[in-house]
Amino acid sequence: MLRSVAPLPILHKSQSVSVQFFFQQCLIGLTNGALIALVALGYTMVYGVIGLINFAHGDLIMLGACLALSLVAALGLSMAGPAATWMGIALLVLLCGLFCGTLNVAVDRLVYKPLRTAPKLAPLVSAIGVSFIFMNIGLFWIGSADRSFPELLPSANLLPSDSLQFNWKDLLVVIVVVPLMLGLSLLVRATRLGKAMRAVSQDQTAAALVGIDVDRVIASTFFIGGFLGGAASVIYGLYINTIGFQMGFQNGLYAFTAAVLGGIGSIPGAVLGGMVIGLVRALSSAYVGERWTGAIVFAILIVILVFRPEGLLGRRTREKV
Amino acid sequence: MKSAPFGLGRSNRSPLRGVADSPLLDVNRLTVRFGGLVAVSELDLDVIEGSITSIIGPNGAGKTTAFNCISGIYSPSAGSVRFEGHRLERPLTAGICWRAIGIGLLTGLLCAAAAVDVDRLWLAVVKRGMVTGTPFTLVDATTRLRGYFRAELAIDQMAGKWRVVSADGADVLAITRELSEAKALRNALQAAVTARRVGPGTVPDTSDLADVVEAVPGARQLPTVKEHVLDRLAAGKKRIRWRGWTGLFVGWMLGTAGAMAVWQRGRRSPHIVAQAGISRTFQNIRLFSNMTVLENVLVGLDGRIPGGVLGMLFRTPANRRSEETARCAARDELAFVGLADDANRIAGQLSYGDQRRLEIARALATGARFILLDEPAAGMNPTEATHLASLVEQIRTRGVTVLLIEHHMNVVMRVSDRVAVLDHGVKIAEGTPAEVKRDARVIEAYLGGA
Amino acid sequence: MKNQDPQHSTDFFSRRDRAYEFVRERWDMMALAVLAVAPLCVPALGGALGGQVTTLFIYCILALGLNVVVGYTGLVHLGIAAFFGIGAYIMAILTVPMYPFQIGFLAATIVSVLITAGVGLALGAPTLRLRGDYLAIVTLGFGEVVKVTLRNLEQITGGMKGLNPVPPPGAGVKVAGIDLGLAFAIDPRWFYYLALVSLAGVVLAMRRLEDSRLGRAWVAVREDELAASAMGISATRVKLSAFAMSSAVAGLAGCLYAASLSTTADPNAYDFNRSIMVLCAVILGGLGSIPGTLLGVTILVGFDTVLAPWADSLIQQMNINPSGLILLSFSGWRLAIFGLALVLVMRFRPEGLVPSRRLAAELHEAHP
Repeated sequence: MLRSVAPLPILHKSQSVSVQFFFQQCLIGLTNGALIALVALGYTMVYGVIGLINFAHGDLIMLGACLALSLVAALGLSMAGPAATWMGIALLVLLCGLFCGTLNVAVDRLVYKPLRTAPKLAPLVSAIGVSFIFMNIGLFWIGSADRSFPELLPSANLLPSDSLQFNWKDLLVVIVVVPLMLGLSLLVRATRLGKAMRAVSQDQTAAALVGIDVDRVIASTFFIGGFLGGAASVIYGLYINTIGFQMGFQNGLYAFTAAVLGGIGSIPGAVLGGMVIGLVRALSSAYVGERWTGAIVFAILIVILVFRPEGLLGRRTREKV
Repeated sequence: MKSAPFGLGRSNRSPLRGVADSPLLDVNRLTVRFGGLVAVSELDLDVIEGSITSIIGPNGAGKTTAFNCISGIYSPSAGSVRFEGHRLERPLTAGICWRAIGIGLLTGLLCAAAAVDVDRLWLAVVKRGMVTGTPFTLVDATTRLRGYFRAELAIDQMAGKWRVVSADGADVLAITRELSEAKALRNALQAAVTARRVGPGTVPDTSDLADVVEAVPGARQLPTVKEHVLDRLAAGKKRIRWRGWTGLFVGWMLGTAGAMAVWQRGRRSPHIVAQAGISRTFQNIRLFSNMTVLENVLVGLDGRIPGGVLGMLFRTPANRRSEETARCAARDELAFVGLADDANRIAGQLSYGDQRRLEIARALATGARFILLDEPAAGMNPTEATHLASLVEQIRTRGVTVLLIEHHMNVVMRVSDRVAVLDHGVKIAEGTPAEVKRDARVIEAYLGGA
Repeated sequence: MKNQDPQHSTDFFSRRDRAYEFVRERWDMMALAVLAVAPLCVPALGGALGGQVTTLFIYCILALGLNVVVGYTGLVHLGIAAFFGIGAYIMAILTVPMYPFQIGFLAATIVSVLITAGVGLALGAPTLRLRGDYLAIVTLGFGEVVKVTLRNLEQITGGMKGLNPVPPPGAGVKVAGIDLGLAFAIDPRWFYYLALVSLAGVVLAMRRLEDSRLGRAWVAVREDELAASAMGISATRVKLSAFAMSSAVAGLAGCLYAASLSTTADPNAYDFNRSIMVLCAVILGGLGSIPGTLLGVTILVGFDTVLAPWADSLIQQMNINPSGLILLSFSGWRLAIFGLALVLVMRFRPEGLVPSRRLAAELHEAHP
């Protein structure tokens, strides 16, 4: 017996290959990239100053998102009017930033500071331990299942064209991330603290000898990195709308990859790396398939490290003999 | 700079083996810049085999930088270092090129596999053979592989029924209960697909035509397949080949370029210099301070111990012998520097002077013919320094050429055949110790301008 | 080592070391003897307990593999589970009845070990030349990619279902009228002995490597890469050999794992948590120390499979937690306990519970 079979509905690649679609993906990628960059800055700053891969940074952001979720409920933001919503978001960014910054400083004081002179492995392993503790706190805070973060912003398109979507959430990312990054680069370039940070990253002993309070500089670095992470956590919640106690690992992985890609220790590098990772993620999700995104990002990391081991904007370091 | 035979006659000098006009080490216009700072500027230095040459100069004169350049830790900004007439870099050989091409090919195959969808490829080549009961021989597998790259239709089994599917299994064209019927259907459909392959680059293959001939008697009625599906299936061959070749090419280029880039970066490395026969000690002692004294020397001997991993794992007699020989050699080296009794102590627990001597033993153990000693007498009292001076002379007696950086003038003046004086990265004088001692510029550099 | 009196003579050191070595050797032999006799005396090992102990042995092998990279060579490796998984999957692909290869346990083990070593080389070759810290991110990313790839290649790996049934070793081979495969399938003690023998073999191999040219080169590179390099040791090659060795041992552990479970389980069994678990075990026990590593694995696996379920059931019996609050269950605190253990060990005893002679001094030494 013969039977005709209807062809399976297969999405034709050619349907999606259009210029608008491509630009839309780029826009998504850049917005995502800005978010990744904000997290990557936390990694790169801490690495730049004390040479530590702060594994707990991703989970710190998870805790920030937990706090943001609790605050949204406590302040009743999901019912508020537009003006109150924006005020509330500003408050959230500030509070979560302060929370994450303070927590980061506290962890530095308690855990990393006693290991300042130990070999590099010790603080690294401690950071992994701290990340576990954070994850457990997150588990107690929001439970083991993923929680949805309330949609606070209208989803109206801000652009005149129909084919390109840029809504309030995307705008939020831009208006939070860009000033923070500008402020950070100003801080590092032009202030005394920034100068001290650069000095400490060059040589801790020498910096101490010229009268820089190294511990305070390191603490400030942790605070700033944590503050940026806290801001990122609020935007993450509002933008992605799902948070879970294990989100820190994945996001940390992407952000850290971005930091390495841009040249770890370099602040513009982290921003560039974040943008590149965001673009690659968006484009590969759109054209290859979401499930392969991680593999593609990683393959690109390897290729770039083969050709430019110091990262895109990193400086080559010489070992002192 | 032309090297002169050294002038002063000394009783304990070993016979000269090198020829005067081909120095063992030839440093030519060596320049090292760190950012804007010129640490070493156009340094010329020749070291004759069997000699002891010293580099002296005030702190920060660029002596250690020059050492680091010779031993491959830094790359010079300009100029060259030649040892026995060879540059101290890994040369670009045909073998390296072939290896890079091989790595490229492997990368290319990986990329091609990803591009043609390795998952579906596996389905087509391995799994279908299992369900249709075709034995898995290399020939059959190759046939199925070719079938995949030609985007030929195939037969698949699901839930007791036979299905005619596209090569990658994504399209199901017909379902039937009988295997024979499925085969006939597949051939008929394949003929229909092949007939659509028109235009340049899609000329039907002979194998496709063979299918057409075979197909006619079996088929009773073709299932209705939509036109655009047939079109897509017909274009499948072109698409998959394009993907495969592109993947292979891109991967190959990336792999080869990557292998060459990695090679290029690893060209100048201290271990290449060491394997060429130059060894060194460090100004701030760099022993493996938690290993025993003997183990430190054994690490120096590493390159001279034969045997591979399997020998170590199964502890073959040959491996045991070579380990034993190495231990003896290491003890000899320790006896040479006077540390024979400390073999089992932890290196970090030795006294400062002993650590310096252990570093020398470790450097000698590499079998180097040329040894760079960076301030070996630093921090020693006059007696120890005298001992060290005789040790340096003994090293020379073994036929090892010595290049020395030292601040102890007694040591320098006693052992050196030639002395070069550096100041602010520039060589300001060179000659025998006696000549250098009289040089006005040297005196000025050390005592400051009058 | 630093705490010892400086006036100890060299003679004392060598004698003390010899006595220490002697005790250690005896301890191993005794442990081996006890473990070898145990299944004959303890009937429980013929049941589920036997399977658990077998898994413990397999984790010990995995940890010893990781110890080569992290302990001896001092590199941070956060993706050992990926190699474990690759080993398991290759074993499965080469032996399951749904694929035509079915080359048998021994041949599959050899192929799998060779392939995992090759994958280790391929990953290490471009990345081990980089700054040490980059290796952490590369191995971490690689672990993620392997997990995702295993999940996505559904036609090859069976996706989330994994590949099964992996036949037991010696299936179809008859020795003295007994089908070996059947024996393995029925009595977990066969696997127990297989894993024990493999573990003993790996321990022996590690001992020999420690005390050979390669082992010294690994430690030399960890202590001072530049100095080792100036002695003619190619740091890249040495690190690469450590990486390949550790991958191969992890692959072996993966083979045993797949064969003993008779399935590869789902790809999530080879994720970051597994890697970190093993890393914790190595660090807790003592980096670069074989007995330490074994002890570390035993403690952590014991915690997970014995202590945590026991404490949970105790809490349930005492009816403290009727509403099932995660805060009041013991296993809810698992991550925090691990994390705290890592932080505290690094702070107060960075050399681990059973320190290796070499590392103890290094970790207590203040680097300026």
